[in-house]
Amino acid sequence: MNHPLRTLGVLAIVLASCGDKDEEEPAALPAWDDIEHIGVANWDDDDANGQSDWDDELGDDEELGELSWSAGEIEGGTLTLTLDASEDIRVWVDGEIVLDEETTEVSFEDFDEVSVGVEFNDTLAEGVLTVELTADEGEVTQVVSLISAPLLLNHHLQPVEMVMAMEYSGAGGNTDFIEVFEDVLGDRFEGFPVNRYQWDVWIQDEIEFGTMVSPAHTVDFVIDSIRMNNGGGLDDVPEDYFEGVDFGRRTWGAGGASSQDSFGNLEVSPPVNVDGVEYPFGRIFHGNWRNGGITPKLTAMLDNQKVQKPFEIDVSFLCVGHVDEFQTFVPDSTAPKGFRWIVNDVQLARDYLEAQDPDMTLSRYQSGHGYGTIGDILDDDELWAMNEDIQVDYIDPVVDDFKAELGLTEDDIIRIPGIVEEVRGCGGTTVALIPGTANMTVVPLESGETHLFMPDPFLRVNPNIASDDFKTHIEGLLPAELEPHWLDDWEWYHLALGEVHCGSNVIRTPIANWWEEARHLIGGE
Amino acid sequence: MRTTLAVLLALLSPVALAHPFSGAPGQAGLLDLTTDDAVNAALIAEYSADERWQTRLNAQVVGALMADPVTAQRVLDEPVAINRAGLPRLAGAHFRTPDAAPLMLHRYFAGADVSTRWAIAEMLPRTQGDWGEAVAATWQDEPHSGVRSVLVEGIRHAGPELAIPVLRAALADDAAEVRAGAVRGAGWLDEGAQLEAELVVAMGDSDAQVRAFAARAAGWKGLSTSWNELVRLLSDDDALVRLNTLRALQRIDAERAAASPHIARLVGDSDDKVARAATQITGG
Repeated sequence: MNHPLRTLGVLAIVLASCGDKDEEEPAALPAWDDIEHIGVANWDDDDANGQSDWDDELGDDEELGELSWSAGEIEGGTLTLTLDASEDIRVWVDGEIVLDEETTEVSFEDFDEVSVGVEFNDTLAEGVLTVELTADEGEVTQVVSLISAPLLLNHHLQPVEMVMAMEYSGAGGNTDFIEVFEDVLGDRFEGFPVNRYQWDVWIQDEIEFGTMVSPAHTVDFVIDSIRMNNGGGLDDVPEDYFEGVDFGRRTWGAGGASSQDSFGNLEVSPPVNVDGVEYPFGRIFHGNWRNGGITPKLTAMLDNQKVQKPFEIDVSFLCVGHVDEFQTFVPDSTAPKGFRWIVNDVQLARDYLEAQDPDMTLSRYQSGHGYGTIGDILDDDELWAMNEDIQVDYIDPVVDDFKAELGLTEDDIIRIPGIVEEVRGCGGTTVALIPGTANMTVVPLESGETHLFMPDPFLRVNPNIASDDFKTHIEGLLPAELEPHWLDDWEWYHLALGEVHCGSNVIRTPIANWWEEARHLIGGE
Repeated sequence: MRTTLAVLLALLSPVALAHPFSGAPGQAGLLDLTTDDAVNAALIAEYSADERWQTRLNAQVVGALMADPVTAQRVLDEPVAINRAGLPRLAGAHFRTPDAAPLMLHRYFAGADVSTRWAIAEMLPRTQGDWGEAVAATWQDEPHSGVRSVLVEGIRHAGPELAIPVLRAALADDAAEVRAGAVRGAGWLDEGAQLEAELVVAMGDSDAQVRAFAARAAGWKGLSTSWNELVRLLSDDDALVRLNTLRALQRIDAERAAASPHIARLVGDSDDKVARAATQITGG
């Protein structure tokens, strides 16, 4: 949480006069260059009253970026401020709103010093504040371009500040799952009591973390999904644990949610260069399921951020229908782009299973999936026919999409074994049969190490995971610098159509100096 | 309804009344037998192998309650959760044992709500227990088409003798959702080719899901005699039907598919997946 930008304090632009005062020469007018003021939308909730601070009209709010002018040697002048902006920008002086969409001009007679607070109620809101000093000595004008930060979502290369999951330590609880996180991450992990939230474990789906950053201030942000309404399930988690000072929360969209409105279906790539266009904060992608995607209001908001230009991929072959079910990104310092893209591959799964003893019993798979041995899986012709079709008709096109939209090449890709089974009652769609390795939680730390939290495949006879050859095989495919950790997610997650990533979430350190790195994406210099 | 009537008639027969497990499935009083001195392990074992599924079910329920009352009561009582897709789910390994099957069936017949019936229908095939005959005999009485569909989709796990008649009847169900479940079930069933005639009829169904999965089943079963019907589906308005049909034709006869002018025309299909598949199949 301790990004350097957060320690800079409030931006103060003090523009003093130039030159020494001389009794025999007229007073010098201040030399005011045109400037840009970058702020953040005032969407956090300092007074914890459940609504954003913009709506509360808090005149002393930290999100009010400060601008100051001094008359310097000039006496008796008049300072006039003129605002040309949308309804999403207003200007405060001494706790009062002096400029907004209705009042566009204000003057200060006998001007000596004036400080104003500029407040935004949207991301990438733009406006112009014209500052004019009129005095006997002449006039001076300054144009202040106003712009607020985009809402940037986090990607897997950003260091992790906090990992969370829903926890229950009573009988039948998910202690094994939780303990791995705790052992590896210590204080960076927090478990929330799932029994207080109707046993809803899908915290990845309920919330998406991002940041709004200006040179002077950072606001963490949580997008609250429409998947749960009226206090059901995890609906109140963002309010209970995150919303507050410097932590905003907002929901886009309303009404009936589809599975695609869950945020396992909303991910961000690492930084990429696509046909010469740099995306320094990566690109957002989300899944489309049979011509239905995330709610249009959220889509529009994400599109409007411009910096992480979203694209959509087809996830119609999946029952849950989330992009996190079959692919992910991991850091890799040896890779051409500093990361690798991991994606499921059916043929690799078949190759792997064919190399195993067909009589190997799979106790978990018998009751979980109806396959008692490796041979039972291999002998299911329909299973392989379905998976082969999914590979060529769905996964291969997604690979092509990622190559086109992110500029990936084969060097950037790690294919891992993965197969799906059909879900009864889900319209002929599918979910991971062998727990989906790609559905992992990627946790780079500031210290440089990166931990991967992945679902135990249980593709073995012996209960001890050390004997699981599939685990060893997967670890051999991953970049050597990564530290894999395998979690028992079978009962609470895998058999409920999710895996580790679905059951966890992550707050990452912002690295979002977008005003320097991403001007080309928002139309500025 | 025919099944319900049969159950009632059976209950009225002198033979049925002669033993404690003769009641209708799901009857409330059945659980009281666990404290009946006349009910012992030998009696339970005898009737747990009865030829009538109703009797077997009742005896197995009582047996499970007496053998492990805590676990059995959990199976009978624990509420339904939802999975990540928002579908009802019974969570826990205690639901996935052979002993759980009669308990869940008891719960089903005792008037469970729709969500619970759905979750039970989904869970029964995972138990490896004695559930097939009960489902085969009663699935048509299930009023909710979604639950009926899940029952039908899972019946293949009860073996072909039970599954084939159920799937045949389900392919004529009034609800498209059930017919779609049936064509999928036929596709997954090793003996699904026995339903070839019904699958061909399903290719002309008014519902696109039924047509799409009928095509898939024909391909999986290698139903070469359905080639012409499949070719007709290449002109279907629904993209998933066209895609599944392409893959079916390829699977039935890859060489013939590669040379098919009907498939070649789909290289320019408006749907990316269909066009891609057609291009791949024809080598275009």
